[in-house]
Amino acid sequence: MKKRIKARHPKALRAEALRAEALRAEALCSLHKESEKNENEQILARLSLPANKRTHFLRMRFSWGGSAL
Amino acid sequence: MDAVSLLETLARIFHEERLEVILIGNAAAALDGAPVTTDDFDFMFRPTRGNIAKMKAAAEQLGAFVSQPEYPMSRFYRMMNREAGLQVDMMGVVDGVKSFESLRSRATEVFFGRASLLVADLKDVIKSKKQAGREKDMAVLPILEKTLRLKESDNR
Repeated sequence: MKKRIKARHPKALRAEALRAEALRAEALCSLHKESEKNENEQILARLSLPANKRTHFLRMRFSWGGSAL
Repeated sequence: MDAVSLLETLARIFHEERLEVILIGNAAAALDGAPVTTDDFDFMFRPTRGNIAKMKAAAEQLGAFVSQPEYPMSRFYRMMNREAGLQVDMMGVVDGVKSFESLRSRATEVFFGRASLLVADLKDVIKSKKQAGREKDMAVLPILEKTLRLKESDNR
């Protein structure tokens, strides 16, 4: 049996696209807020330590050219 | 990786050789509280004949060889010990820094074991990176500036 494709009005399609875009922007915004918050917490945690304890920053060099923390 | 043992070694050796240096770059920024990483240590020093001899003596203690990667364009020396994964860059001139004395006047003394190192102020590290303007410096600027803002608001 042939499937019938229901034609949709361009206005309806546009409204749907706008709704999807708004949802995407909202999700991105909350993601940005979350990572901003995490970053601030990470900095404040470091600042709460004395300077000579903020020493976990060195990446080890490897002979083949890479590096890792 | 925790840099504390290398920092202790560097502080002790520079102290023993009576070589006055100031830690700059990302290592200084990290000690200033910024969540950044690096695979080397950058220092500013006064490249006098006496200090260059002291630097070579320090390199010997570190088991490192000294090179001048930008010779004769700049007075920049590199101490390297491949087995230990250690790279220490010693700079006589630093972008955005007027003089060794001006940088020292704002630096903080941080103790590692019994010896200490002078660590450049975060504002100076930011200024230097802005002035250098390399891609890798520009990439790290937002996080350094955010750290500075939080540090200043924390101090209020």
